[in-house]
Amino acid sequence: MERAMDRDINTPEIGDELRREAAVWFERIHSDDVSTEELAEWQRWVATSPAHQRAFKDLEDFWRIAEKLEEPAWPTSFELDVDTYDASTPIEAWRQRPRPQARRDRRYLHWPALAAAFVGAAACVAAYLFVFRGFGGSTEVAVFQTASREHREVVLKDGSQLLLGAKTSISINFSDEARNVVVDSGEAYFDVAKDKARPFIVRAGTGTITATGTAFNVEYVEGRVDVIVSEGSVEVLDINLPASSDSAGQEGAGPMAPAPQPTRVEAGQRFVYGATTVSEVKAVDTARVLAARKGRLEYLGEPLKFVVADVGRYTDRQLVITDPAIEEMLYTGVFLESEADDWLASLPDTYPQVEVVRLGDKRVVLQLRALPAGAPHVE
Amino acid sequence: MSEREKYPRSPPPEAGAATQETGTGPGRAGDTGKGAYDDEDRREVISRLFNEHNQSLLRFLVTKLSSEQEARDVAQEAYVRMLNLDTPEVVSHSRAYLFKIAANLAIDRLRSRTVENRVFEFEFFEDLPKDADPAHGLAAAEQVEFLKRCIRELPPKCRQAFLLRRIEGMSSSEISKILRVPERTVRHYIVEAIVYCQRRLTAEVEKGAIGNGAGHGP
Repeated sequence: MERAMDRDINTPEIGDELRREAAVWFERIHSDDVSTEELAEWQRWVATSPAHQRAFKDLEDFWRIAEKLEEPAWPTSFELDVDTYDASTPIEAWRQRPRPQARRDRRYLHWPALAAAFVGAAACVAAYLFVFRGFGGSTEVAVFQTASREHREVVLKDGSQLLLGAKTSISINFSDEARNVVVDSGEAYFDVAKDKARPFIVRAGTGTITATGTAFNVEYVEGRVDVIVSEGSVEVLDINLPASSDSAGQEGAGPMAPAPQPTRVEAGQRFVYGATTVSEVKAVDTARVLAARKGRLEYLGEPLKFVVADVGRYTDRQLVITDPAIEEMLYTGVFLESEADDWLASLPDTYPQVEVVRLGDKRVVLQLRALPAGAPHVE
Repeated sequence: MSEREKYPRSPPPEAGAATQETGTGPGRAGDTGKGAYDDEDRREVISRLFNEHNQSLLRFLVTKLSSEQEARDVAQEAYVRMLNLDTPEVVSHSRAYLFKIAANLAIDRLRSRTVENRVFEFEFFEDLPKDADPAHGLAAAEQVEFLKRCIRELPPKCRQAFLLRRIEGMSSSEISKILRVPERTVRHYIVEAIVYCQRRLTAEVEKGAIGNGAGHGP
């Protein structure tokens, strides 16, 4: 392979027009839907003259140099909003247009913070499912995972139905004594089949939720477990509260021993626990639970941190909040999971101080907008 | 390494053959009435293709894959597919067809890349300059630095389109959905961004402000 750079750049005959022609071909032949005819045409164009050949090769070299760009200056949403350039004129001309004297508000991201946030977040969300059955009788061991935007309905051997939200991972371990489920992350709705002899125990975060014949939703994101009961009742025990000595490392083998002060949560109630949350039972509109099953997300005065965590499960992008002030902003609203991306894009409409910055197709950063002194420039 | 590249003016491929699938059967000699002659003929054509267009094909693939190793793998596979094609007519307009097969293979490969692969790719590329002239490496770094500046000068949407294509490998139709502009505009953005940056960079190199990387050529 020749080196990327061995070109003769001192060739006066390669002007902008030829460069543009080469770039048009380049863009065309590297589109996924390029046809063989177009490739043949391109090859004929290249063969027309040595200048064409060189112009194209220069372009390939340029493309390789551009590959090494690190941390390029991605435009902010503000810049994108006010941009009126439509590529009908060369960029030179656009740059020479008259413009107001206000300096462009160019803010750069706080890279160290971002870098730290991204570390360890390279998890690849492949949906897979492996179920080991045939231990006979009532035993069942399985792991279920869903990808971003994927919902999955699962019917377990005992007749219980699970509806898994996106980016959710749960494992189940059913024995003759108990039905144990661990929510590793994400959200699941449980419609539990009655079986008095085998309690249905869901572990999430630092606590357990025990039910017999009940329907309830468990969401475990950002270290917070959110339990909403729509039918019957459950008992929640958070080991971070009045501690029960043996429940901490218990991998769900055997039924929960009667623990001190479990919290009873009835239909129509919500109970939230987690390291940084004050746990209390509250009345809630269980329509929210049912809404979630229909692909709707509903919030009433919810910290943005948790809303964004939910939204993050319905988009392929990684969402990063750079400022704690944003995390604590309260959100009230309803939207469809399928509209997660639109919701993100429209966030600055609701919170003008929040700026949504896309970094390629992998990441979206929510940051506080630095309000420029004086009016921002308008073209 | 031969820099000589011929682009014989062959007629455009026939539409029928051009649109067929890339992965066809083994197509051994004897499958058709013409037998061994075709097979040999085909080998000869493909070996000619290799000699005349391999560099061009590799550049084409490196552009797509950002990896010389993978470009070579894909090129090799493309030649093998050409050899095994059922329709001997393909050899008569083989050049564009070879690129089409290679493009499809490269796209498949890109789609199957996982996040981990991508990280690996990146590390792999850190090693690349070692077979190059050190002056070249330095010049390249200067050029990248200057290019960063050029990119800041681009209009925002145009810049976004260029970066999404170059850094994230997104297609024009994907970018069009993100920027909410017609796909045609996205293509224009990318073309204008290339023209602008390339010209700025070339001018800078000609001015002698940064090395051209072609220092001690043969």
